Amino acid sequence: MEETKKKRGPSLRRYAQLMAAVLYNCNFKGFRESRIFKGDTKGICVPGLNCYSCPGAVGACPLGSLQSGLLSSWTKFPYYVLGTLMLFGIFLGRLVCGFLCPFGFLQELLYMIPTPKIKKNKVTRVLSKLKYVILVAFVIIIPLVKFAPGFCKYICPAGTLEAGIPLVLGNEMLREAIGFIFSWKVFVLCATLLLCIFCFRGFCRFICPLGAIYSFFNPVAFFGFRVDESKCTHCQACVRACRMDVKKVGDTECIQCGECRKKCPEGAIKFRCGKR
Amino acid sequence: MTRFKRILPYLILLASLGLLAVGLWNGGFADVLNKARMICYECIGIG
Repeated sequence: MEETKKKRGPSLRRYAQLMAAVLYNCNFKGFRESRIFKGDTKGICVPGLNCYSCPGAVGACPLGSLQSGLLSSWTKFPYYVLGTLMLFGIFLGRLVCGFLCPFGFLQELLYMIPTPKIKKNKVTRVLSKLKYVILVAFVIIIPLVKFAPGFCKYICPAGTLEAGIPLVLGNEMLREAIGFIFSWKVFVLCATLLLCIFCFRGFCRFICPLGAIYSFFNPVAFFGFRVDESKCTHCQACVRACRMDVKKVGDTECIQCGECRKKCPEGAIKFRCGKR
Repeated sequence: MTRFKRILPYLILLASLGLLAVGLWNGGFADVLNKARMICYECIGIG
């Protein structure tokens, strides 16, 4: 009976994800006119991965802004973007991934397609370190050395989906300018979406450098799920229930989705707001 | 160690607010705004 009740409707987290996706991209006429928003809110970074060249975007992508800032860091260091990322990180950690990222939301929707699923295993645990390599190589080194936003240019499937495809479809001049890199990015997008059908949040777990940044803050963030050690019996039900590559609740891989809380037989997992 | 772990989030919070203040003072907001107001050709796979 309780199980039926649980499956009745979308969770609060789903509504939060939907709200975030709509709020980040509420310039609806941009999609119709194939034009991007140019208002002052574009100077504010949103917490999740959301391309600022998306016709609907009303805020800036923190990862794109960081790379752009690093491109010109020899003359001016991107303190503003770093401060914003640290602020989101210390308050929310990877709660951003679980609740406020439109691309994470899309991946979870794709995972609902009924197909055989790849469960977490030793390989996925190793692959979950890849995002740190991508963070260092494509977000930090390539912008500093090659003067190109490496992640945006060569990898970011969110940029292709939210900005590349809608703008190219609606703008003939852009359509004429597409070449190998666009084809490559469409391939990366298709591969990512396909991966996410079979593997829970494959992009977040293995590739996303924004998740990698927030993961450093996750164990010390003010908001998030934590285990009450006095109640915990170390039965590992939480780790088994989690579809991310976590070793314990609230570690660097935890996206604070709260699935573990439902499975804890002792009720030892609680949401912590601020107070340490 | 436990004490350090306890104050670490507050130190990070202070550092982030400091960085944000310095960033706002040296025109970081305008830099992000100027970049985000234009189509990023790299992001869409053309640049």
